[in-house]
Amino acid sequence: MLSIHDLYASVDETEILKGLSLEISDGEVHAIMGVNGSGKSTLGHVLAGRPGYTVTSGSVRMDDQDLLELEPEIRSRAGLFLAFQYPVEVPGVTNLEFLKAAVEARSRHYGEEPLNASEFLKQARGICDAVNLDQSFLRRGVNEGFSGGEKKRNELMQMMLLQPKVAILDETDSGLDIDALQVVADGVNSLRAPDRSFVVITHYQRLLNYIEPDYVHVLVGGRIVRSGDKSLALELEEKGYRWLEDEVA
Amino acid sequence: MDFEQLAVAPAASPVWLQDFHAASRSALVGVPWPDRKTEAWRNTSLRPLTDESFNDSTMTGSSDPSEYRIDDLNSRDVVFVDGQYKPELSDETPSNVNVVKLADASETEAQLIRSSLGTIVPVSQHFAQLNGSRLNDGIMLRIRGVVSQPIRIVWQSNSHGSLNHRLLVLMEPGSQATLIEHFCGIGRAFTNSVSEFELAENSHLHHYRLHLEHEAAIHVGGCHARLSANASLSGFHLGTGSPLKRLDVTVNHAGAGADSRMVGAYLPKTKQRIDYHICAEHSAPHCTSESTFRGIVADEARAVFNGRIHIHPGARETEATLDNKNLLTSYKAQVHTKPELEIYNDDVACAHGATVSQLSEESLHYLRSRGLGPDAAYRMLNFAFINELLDGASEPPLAEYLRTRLQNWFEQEAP
Repeated sequence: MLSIHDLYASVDETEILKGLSLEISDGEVHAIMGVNGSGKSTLGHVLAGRPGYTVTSGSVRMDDQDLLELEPEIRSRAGLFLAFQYPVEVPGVTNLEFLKAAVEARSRHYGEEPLNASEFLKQARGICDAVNLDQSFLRRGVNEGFSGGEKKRNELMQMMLLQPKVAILDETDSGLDIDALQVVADGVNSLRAPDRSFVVITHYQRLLNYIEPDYVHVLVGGRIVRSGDKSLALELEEKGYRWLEDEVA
Repeated sequence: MDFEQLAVAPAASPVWLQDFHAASRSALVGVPWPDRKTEAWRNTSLRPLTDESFNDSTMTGSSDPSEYRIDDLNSRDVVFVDGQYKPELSDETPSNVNVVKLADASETEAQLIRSSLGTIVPVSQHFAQLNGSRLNDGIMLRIRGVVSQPIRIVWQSNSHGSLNHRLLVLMEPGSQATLIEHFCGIGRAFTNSVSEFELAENSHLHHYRLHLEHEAAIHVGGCHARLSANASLSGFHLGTGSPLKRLDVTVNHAGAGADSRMVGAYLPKTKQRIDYHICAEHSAPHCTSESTFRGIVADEARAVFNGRIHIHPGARETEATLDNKNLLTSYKAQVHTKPELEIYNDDVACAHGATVSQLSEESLHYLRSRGLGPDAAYRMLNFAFINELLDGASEPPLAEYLRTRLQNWFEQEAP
């Protein structure tokens, strides 16, 4: 489904990703762990096509498409979703208008009939309930004045509406209390499906108690230095990252 | 061109109005026509006005005011077409709203009018003096008690002539009303408009001034309010651009405890110009004023925003703020924003800020990462920048009407 091969990428001429390769098949959940500055978030941004992130070599394919050739909106419509670590506030546009515009853009792209307004509203309300956000959030400005946890749940709500093929969660657990973490994990778990894959970027093993990964990868210095199953996360929790960094050095 | 030459009084006016014409005209004697050396006109050229004659009063299109209806607003409309009051096209106003055509005012009404007319607009407003010297078909609205339905003044222009609009609103003590001035029409006229608002003690006015006339229409004018003790004014201004649009807005806090809140947006594009000069005069203690204006300047357009706060010696414990934010959506767009604070009392709190920026790359990317194309993302953020100001609108149907207009506006606006 998603195939990353020997990816090098820089930000402001500083090389961050240095030969990262990763194969993700349908239905799998991959966790990416690593210390600050190891390139975890950069990977998310590069995959989503954020301006300022330059791929210098390597390739990324999603299904049969060269992902790096696609504009960010085309990547999204093709089924890629990045839950932002720092979702952007857009005062002046309601959450509902924003969600509707996103869903409509995708329907139009595939020549599908757009949902009618009342069906859409019903669906949006249902998802609001599912992520434990009050329905009044639909009428508020996008992320405007939301708490950290509310922003993360709002990202999850967008993900549930857009039903992506590949969802990347960039430190979605940071700043969440246990209850919010449970809500986010429940949301993600409800979306797990044979034709949907997840890349869960996190610092901590804790999230992986709630979202059980098929594979765990450790990023050091912009590439994956160790892969394993969920027991690798437990090992990291116990020993820290230092031993792996030392090994690589 | 000069002011005196343009100050041609209409024939057959009542004596008091003739006196008013003469007084206005005398204020213009020897006043030079403003040019780039005149500080208040430094960044706005009057050439589009002086280069054309504006003497063609032939109608260029429909005069049906229903085209400019605002759905669900349920307003009482007072309609002017090409500067002329049209009672036959207007709604009956509620019993506590008197509409008096200036030229038809009774002796008592004329006395009432004379005590306010021309005394609220600053004398330095030469175009307002010009308006006074030519005044013919203006109206006075006298408002008592609480008026629940919004009153809408439809200033419709259909011709290519020179129009002189004049409005005087007298809010009696304790009265409350919503008044919308709606400039519209397909005429490419030169409009010189002056609206004056006298707010007596404890009166409360929601005022909207919507400049949505034809994109070739030239407008030099403004609105001016005087607030007595504990009166409050909330103003909303929206202006699209044209070859020349210059709008002066002054609020004089003349009585203790008066309060004003002004919100505004300007949206020039192509090679259009728009110039808002706003001024909060504080002459009494314990008053507050808050002005928030935003502009989106596209293409090769140019906007001017001059925000002045003037605190007189006696105006202790004034709180005044001024905020101006601008988005430039092209490399050739320009904005001249200037705060002007003149403060003669130490016991006041004043704040001002002005920013000029472009749409944030980060926000654009966020929207695109959810599947919106770059044009749609760009439109949505532009719309959001202005729409935020509409959230506080007191009349939801009016806000909805403006949202639709704005959406259409930005629809044509994609890069």
